[in-house]
Amino acid sequence: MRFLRISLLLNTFLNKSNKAKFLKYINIGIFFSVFAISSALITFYIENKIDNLEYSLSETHILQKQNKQDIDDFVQMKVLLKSIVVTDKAITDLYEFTASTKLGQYLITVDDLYLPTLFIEGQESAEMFKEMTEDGLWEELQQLVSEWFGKDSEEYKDYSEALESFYKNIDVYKKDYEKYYDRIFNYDLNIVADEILTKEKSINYFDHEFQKDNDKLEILLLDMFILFEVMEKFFFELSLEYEDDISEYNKEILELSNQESKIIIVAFIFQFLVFIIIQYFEVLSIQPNKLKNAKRKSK
Amino acid sequence: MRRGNLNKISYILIVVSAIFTIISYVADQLVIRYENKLRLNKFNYQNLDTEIKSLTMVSKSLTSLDVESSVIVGRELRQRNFWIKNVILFESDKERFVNHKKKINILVNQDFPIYNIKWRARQSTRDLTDKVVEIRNSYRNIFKESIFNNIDFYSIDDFNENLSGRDWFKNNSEKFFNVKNWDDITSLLNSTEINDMDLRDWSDIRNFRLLIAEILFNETKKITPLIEYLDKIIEDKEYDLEILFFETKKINSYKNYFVLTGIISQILTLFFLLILFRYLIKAKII
Repeated sequence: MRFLRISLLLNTFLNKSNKAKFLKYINIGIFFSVFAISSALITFYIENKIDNLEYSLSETHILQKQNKQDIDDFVQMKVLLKSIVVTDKAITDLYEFTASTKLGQYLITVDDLYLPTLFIEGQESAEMFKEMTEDGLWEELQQLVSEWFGKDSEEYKDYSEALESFYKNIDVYKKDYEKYYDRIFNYDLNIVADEILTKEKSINYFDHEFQKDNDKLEILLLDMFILFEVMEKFFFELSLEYEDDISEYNKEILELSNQESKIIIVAFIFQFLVFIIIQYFEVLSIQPNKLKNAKRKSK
Repeated sequence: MRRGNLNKISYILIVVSAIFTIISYVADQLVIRYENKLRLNKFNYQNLDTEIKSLTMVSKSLTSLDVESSVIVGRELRQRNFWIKNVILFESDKERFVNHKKKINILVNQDFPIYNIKWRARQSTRDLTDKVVEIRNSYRNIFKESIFNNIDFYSIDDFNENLSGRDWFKNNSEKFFNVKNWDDITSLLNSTEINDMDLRDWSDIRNFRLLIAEILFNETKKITPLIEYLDKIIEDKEYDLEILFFETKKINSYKNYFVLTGIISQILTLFFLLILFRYLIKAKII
């Protein structure tokens, strides 16, 4: 049974005389399709490689974005700490100076100067510090610093010293300053007025619990500043590493793209040569038949 | 083989071409499906990204206001007694203070130093009130964000009520001598002559400042869990965004593979058809 009669269709276009010509066109068509297939396969292969690289590049971009966010957080915390340490210290110094005068010793008490800071810090930061310390965050970061800068580095030394001092003073956050709420928000002016008549709570003795805790808090904040500074340096260096990785990935992707065009050109030249050689042999194989036919005709 | 008849090889070549045509068609359909998925993912990605940016802005603004409020409260608490003690010491006619002044031998003969303290106390009270109003308005602007509509552990209405100033004097009447309402305190802070104000008035101003600081402190304390909640949402959404990003990337890769598969299949169809024609001519079927 004949299902297909392609020959009938082709017969309308072909006749015996231009078969060779038609074969030549088909060969050219085959040559181009082979070239197209090989180009597509090369593209497929290279694209696959580029795709993997782009995936890694995207991952690095995300890491870099997170890293920049960390740097931004550290910088902000550092600025905040610095402003607290510097501004508060300046104001405390001024009050302490005033308190050392004849009148000042009656006007400024430990409740006035040190308790508010301890009260506010105790309320706002205690939980955060508790979480940071309990989760072992500082130790994890110390490990990072050690791995990155080395145990003999200045950074590791600074970090370790600051952390040691930090733990010595962290107990300031363990105290409950909330119990002093009524002393802070005291609306009874008789109590305030009575303070004027005595030096009992004067800040000049440097022996009050609040004063000692305030000193601890100052040291703690300075230690925190050092810890943040080292971490900021670490994240900046990490950011440079990510930058290098990103530029490396970009370079590799660009190289692969260029390589793709080059391979396709080489494949084209190679296939063209093969096509020429095949065509040559095909022509040679047809030639003796033609000669035989010519001789037969001349006879 | 008779001319015009197709043989086994011809049929195989036709079937192979047909298979590649089908593959090409399937690949094209998959490209369309993945393109739709990609469009949807990009749409979700952009929405999520905008949402995260908006939430980050809210969180950062709240953090800034929280810090600003704490700084104001901290400064206010430190100086809450300093100026009033000066005023009491120099203005009180109670014997114990008069004697104390004599004892410590601090005599201020000129009116200017004490007037200066009073003038500054009044001025700084006005500044404090303005600052708190500014902070309150900034908070109110942030609270207009839709995220706060779904939070049940924090009440914006309570915040507005507590910082509105309504009933401040009514609910804290025991803290004031002369001041009964906003008109009284406004008059003390703006129009009353400093020299006409007595110790009770200064006491009211001092307690008014402390009341502002207390309310601001208590309201600020409630903001911290709100910031933590927002940061948690942002963290979760960033994680979702990351997943969506890699999913989009994966879909895009698949789409590219299907495009390439489609192209290769089409070329292979053409290739096998050409081989078929070549074979037909060579085998003299046509």
